[in-house]
Amino acid sequence: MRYLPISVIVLVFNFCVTLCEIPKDEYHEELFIKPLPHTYIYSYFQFTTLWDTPFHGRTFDHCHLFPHPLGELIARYDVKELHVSLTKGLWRHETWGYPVQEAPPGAEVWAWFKQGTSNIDNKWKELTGALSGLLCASLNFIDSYNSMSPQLSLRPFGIDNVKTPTNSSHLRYSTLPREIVCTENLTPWKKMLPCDSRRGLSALLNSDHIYNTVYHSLGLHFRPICMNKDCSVTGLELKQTVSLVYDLIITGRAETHWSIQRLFGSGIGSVCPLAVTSLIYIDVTSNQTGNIFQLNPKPLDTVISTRGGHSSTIAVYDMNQMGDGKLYNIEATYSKNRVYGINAPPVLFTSRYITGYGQEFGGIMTKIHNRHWQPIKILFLENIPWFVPVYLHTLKIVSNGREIKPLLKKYIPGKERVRPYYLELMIELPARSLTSVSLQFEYAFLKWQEYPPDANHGFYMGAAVITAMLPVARNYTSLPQDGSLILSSINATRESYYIRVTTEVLIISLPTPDFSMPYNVICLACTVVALAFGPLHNITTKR
Amino acid sequence: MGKSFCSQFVVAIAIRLILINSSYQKGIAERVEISTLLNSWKRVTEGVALYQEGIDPYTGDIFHETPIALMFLNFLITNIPQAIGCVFVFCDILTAYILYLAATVYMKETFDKQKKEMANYAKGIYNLLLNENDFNTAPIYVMSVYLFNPFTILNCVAFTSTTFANLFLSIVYLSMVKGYRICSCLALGLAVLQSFYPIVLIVPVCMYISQNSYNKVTSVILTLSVFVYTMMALLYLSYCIIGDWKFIHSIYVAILTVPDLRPNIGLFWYFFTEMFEHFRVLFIFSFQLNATLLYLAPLSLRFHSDPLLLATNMQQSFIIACSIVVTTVLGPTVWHLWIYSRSANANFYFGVTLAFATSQIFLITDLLFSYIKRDFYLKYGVMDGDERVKLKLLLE
Repeated sequence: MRYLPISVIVLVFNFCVTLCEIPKDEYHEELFIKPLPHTYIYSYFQFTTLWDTPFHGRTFDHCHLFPHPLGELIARYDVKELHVSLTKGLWRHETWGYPVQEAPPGAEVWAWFKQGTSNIDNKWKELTGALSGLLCASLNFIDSYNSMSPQLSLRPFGIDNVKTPTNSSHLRYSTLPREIVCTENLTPWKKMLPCDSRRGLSALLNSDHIYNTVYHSLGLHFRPICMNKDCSVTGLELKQTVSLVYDLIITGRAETHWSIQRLFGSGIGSVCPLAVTSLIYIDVTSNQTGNIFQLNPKPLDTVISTRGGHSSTIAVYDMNQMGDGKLYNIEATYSKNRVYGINAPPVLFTSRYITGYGQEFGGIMTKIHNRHWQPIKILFLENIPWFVPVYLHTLKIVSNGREIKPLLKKYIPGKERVRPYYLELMIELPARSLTSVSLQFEYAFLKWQEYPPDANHGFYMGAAVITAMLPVARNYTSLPQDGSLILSSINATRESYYIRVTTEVLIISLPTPDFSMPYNVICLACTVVALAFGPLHNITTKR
Repeated sequence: MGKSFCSQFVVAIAIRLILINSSYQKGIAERVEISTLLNSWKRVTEGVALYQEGIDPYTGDIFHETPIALMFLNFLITNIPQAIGCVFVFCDILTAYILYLAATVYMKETFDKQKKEMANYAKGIYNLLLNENDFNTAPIYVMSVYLFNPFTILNCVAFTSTTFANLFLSIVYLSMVKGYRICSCLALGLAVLQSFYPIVLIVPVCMYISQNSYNKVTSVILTLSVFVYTMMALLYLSYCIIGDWKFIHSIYVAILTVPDLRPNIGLFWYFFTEMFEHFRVLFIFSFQLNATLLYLAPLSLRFHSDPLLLATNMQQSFIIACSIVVTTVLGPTVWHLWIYSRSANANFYFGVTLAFATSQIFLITDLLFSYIKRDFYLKYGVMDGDERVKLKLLLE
């Protein structure tokens, strides 16, 4: 009995600690700017929330920095990993290299559900419906007829069970290539940031400036991660990303200088007080190869990052040490007019188009360039909507004039109004080669009410996705799989470098019926039927 | 006669083989008028390719042949890819020959019947009666009409499965007139398995076979049960081949619910393209009933005595022939204008198919009408002048 008061005190104390535990989460803001060849400037914002917490159903009951609405969706639909991107414009790999986050034009969503989740198709439909509300995008149009479960191309980025890896039956992938992305998506997206758009780097995201770009992409990437080296502690990571490519000629005066203020419409103000790091990186590698520019103010730190045999120089600004609470600008001034030299394309890039003429038979042709001196194995994922019925026996892979066989082939034929055509190939691209993958299809004829209001505009066909592990990191900017921040990509040499390359979105102009004719057609066809019925009735009943 | 007989075969085979080996073969095989959802060779190739890859071809909606056909065509494609053309030509020629045999048997029967009933006929109808010469030439006509019908030739050249359907149907006719119950049921079963609509032929088969038996009801029931067992056996065989019942959905539901709206020479495609969604089911039911059951009862009641028809007294043959020729020529032209030049639209092609359907309807009604007319004349004699006005039989 003597120890009772003490044990009560200990209990109460423990209880208090559990209740009043300070959430172990961090928020990081980063901006990466890279001048691209010609007059393009690439800027990539990444807002990362890291949360050191076990991942279970009640994790999101109390959120601190993590956006609560998103957390609710993740908990409710048993999502393990979620990737959403909303993109306008096409990333031009051949001239621009690889972006940090790859995204096809339009909307792209894919999610891994937790192992043991039942009724995944329903949950997927509800999840996309809820996401559509969260992001004000038409993700509610995602249904079984445009979703698939790729078996090879997509693997979980976050932690997975080593003994029983999550298989593709827990994965749903879908794209909406026709999706238009604009301010109504940006505003709710910004609302999920801890500092909203009032302070910190997110204050730079003014819709009247970021929609002047030739390419813009919003991203939302959630995954469970390891919090230490041996992965004994796990946590959650949410990356909210914005990729923008400005064409300086479009944004204003045809001059080569650029600055934060000119790109985003305002200077940088105060930092977000909730952020642990607020860093700006500017890739100044091109300073060594001709187009020399000066940064003003001078960077506090310049790092040389060597990665996969290629080094780049990066100027780093820490926003906590700049500005003294006032607005300030970072500008790049070129000493002379920019020289547009020959651009060295990256190792792997693609182009894609439709072949054939008329609206009866056509073909889809994808050309894949491999500029490496060694063969590269790639995964090729076709996502063909049901209204483009393809013939698998017409699949042809030709490399440098020689037909090659895929190492692996996965195919599920599509079904009208139910399921898209899914084709996944593993191909070994010969060294320094141009490989073309072609498929023949027939134009489908739809019911008149299935055509969109502007029927002759055509139907969109989602991008094909090429996945590879590159042996070199030339033009490579992505984060390593084990890193969460842009900072972690500095000097991150690994065995190979994961890339996803998405191709162009195609438009197919399907043959249309005459939309003004339903009554006439019904009447005429019925007349002909009556024409058959009348005399037959007459003949068979006449005595 | 043997000479003309052989020369017909030689010419027919030559036409087919030349076309098959010419550069036109691919173009012909891709015509919408010939290759449809259910019979196109390209879809067969795809189905066989999928089957060889180990993918069930019935999971998609490109392949609509039966599993039995799948096995057969798989055998053809893998083992004798060069001889596929020859197989199709052989089937077509065999069909023509079987039709010839069937027509011969039928003509003989008709001739016997005519002799028997001669006493009941009216006077002055001698030119309506069949004579020895008709007896010899009619089967030849039947055969040459089949051998030189452009649509049959094109179907054979395009390697469509219609060629096999025709073969089965001709076997049905032959075994029907010969009174072979099991054989006709088997052939009919194969034809029904492939495209469902021939199921209406079970009625004439039952009737014809029961004609010469003592107990008609037993005969009909026997035929029906043989047919049902054949169908069950065939379906089960198909199930064993593919290990799945999905093919039922892929073949029959695809035929009955018209999900594919690719234009063909029928009327359904545009009708169901332009249909209002809430009436779709109603019209699918009414059109399918119309195509299968609606005419079955009255026609079989009216012509029960003579399930195979023969035409002699057609009135509008010139108009019908002209409209069929014109629509056959206009069809591809308008198709090109719509799909390739994009200067016409779907209505043009629909107009042509409407005209084509109308002319075919006229053809059938005219045939039936002429049959009735002949019957009438045989009974009451050919009249002229005032009498004719009084007893006028009109197509109204």
